[in-house]
Amino acid sequence: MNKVAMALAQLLVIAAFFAGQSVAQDDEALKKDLTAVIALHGLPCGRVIAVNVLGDNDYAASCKDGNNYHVYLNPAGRVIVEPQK
Amino acid sequence: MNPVKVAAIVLIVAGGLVLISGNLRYTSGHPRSQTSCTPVTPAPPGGRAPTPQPASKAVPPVAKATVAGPPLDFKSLEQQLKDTRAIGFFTKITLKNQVEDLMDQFRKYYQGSAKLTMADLRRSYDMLMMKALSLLQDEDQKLASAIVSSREAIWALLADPVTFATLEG
Repeated sequence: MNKVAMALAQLLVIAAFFAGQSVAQDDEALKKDLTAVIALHGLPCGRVIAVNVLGDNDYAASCKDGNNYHVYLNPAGRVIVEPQK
Repeated sequence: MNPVKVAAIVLIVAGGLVLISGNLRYTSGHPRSQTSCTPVTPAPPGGRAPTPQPASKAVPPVAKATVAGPPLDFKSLEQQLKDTRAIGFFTKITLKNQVEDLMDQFRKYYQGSAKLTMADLRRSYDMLMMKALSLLQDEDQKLASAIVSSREAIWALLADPVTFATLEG
């Protein structure tokens, strides 16, 4: 393999590494955000440990204490948190 | 140019771009240094509204602020909350919803259609401030300090029907 191809391969590896890190950071930021939102609504959660994206500004959050919530932005611009069974 | 040198430059530039795009992905706010503070002069009492509760009675203890910043006005505080990167998008919208709810309660109170007392409003106000502070104090101490030092000035604006009406406009 020539040197240019080698360098390009290295570039791809580094880009993939940073892209992966960035996605993980986004995921953590979203969990933290949803944890704060659920707490602001006075609902029990502990902290959000898993998030499913249901749509634009629409999430299903699973909490450490076992509670699940549907968190979304309604058309009136309000954040709604609905407990799910 | 040596192909190895070219590849090295490409690597550095691409790595930088990936880092930058990563930072812009979820939290796209302004840098904290852009915050601006506007001093506030509490308005004189209106006279026709119920007298606000003395601050010393109703204020629960507040988290210690490391540095006391200059006081803010209500609009400036709103803008800084919008701009901070310490809290996420949904949290900001939720706080905004709760501020609007509190403003509604004040509006009804001044219209005489609320069952709430001024002490109830003060309690709601303190609770909202505590929520905001608990969210901010670890990651945006400057804004948290500014909120602490502006707390009474903002209350003075809300508790006077004349200055409240100007906030509404």
